[in-house]
Amino acid sequence: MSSEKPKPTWLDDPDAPPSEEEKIASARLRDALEDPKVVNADAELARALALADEPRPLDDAEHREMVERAVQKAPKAQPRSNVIRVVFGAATALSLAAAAVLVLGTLNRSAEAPRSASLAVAPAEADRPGLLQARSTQELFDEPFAKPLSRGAASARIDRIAMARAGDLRENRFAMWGVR
Amino acid sequence: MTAALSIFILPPVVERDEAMKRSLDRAREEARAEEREIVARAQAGDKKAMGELFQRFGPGLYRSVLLPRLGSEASAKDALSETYAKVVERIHQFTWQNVGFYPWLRTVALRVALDQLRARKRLVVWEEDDVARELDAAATTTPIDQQVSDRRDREVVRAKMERALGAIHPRYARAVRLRVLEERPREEVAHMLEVTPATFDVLLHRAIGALKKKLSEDAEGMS
Repeated sequence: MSSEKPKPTWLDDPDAPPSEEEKIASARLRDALEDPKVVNADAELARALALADEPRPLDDAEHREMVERAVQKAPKAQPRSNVIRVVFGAATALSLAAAAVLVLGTLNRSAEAPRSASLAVAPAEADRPGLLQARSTQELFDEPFAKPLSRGAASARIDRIAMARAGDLRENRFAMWGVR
Repeated sequence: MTAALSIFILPPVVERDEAMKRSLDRAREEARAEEREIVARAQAGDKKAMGELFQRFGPGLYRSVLLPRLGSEASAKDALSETYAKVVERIHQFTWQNVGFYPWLRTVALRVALDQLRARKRLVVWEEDDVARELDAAATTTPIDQQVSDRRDREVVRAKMERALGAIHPRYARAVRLRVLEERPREEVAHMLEVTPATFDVLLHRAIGALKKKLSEDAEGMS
């Protein structure tokens, strides 16, 4: 017993006598194959098969035209020199503006400068309770450095100050942000 | 004797093969680098570079991807134009992977072909679902697996055709091969099949019908 699907009867005998309908459809297919302008679904499938089997190359001139059309629609590249000019122009304008702000700001500050320089450098935030204040570095040197001073000892002092003050700054920032 | 000969003959052969492989690899790398540079220029808006990419890959794309899937020269040309338009619009989205520009271009073309197939309901060799599956594969495979070429595309097309022709009556398959694929004159094919031209017309009509049925069954079976 075969497990194959039963095939339609017309598949079994390709040379069986045709019906009237088949004769008409065959004539239509023949005409459509002879003349591509005649619309016929079977002929279209036949042509699709032929094109799939042996696809014809695209005509060079036609393809060039197609490429031209597509490329014309591409946005223009910004010339490099223009970009540089624009960037330099913008940078110059910004520099001038910044210089003007700086000069005017300095003039205003010097006009309103308090007699005591210490007041000028102490920001209002520094007076807020809970913030670490600027102070002497003496306490950082209670622990003596190794003697005799080796090469790089000065750097070790600076490192100690920098680390301590960086810690102070961090603490103050946390305090200001309200996260301490 | 053979062993002795192999000592003298084999090493130079192996060396020659390795040298050839090295030289091929170098040439391939150089071509890739050149292609990458053209793509970069096209992405920067260089129209000449964009045109160069289309000239390089367009004909293969048309012949191996669009024409077999769409089944008509007019549709394939429309699809190629649309593919170019989409590439112009989206080339900035392309990210270079070491498989070149073609796989990305092919994916864009397949999307365009899929849209065309969806828009019409006529049966062609390629079904909508076939192309959708190809697109899925293009999206999920690694860059190395995506090393597609128009030659590989052509092989896939031929295999599909052979499968379809192999599934119909051999006499029908012969009629299709001779008249449709080899484009022999109707009278000549009728003579070769030992029937009158009018009988051959019926035979060919039945053959196309059988093929159509087979392609529809395949499409239904896969969806």
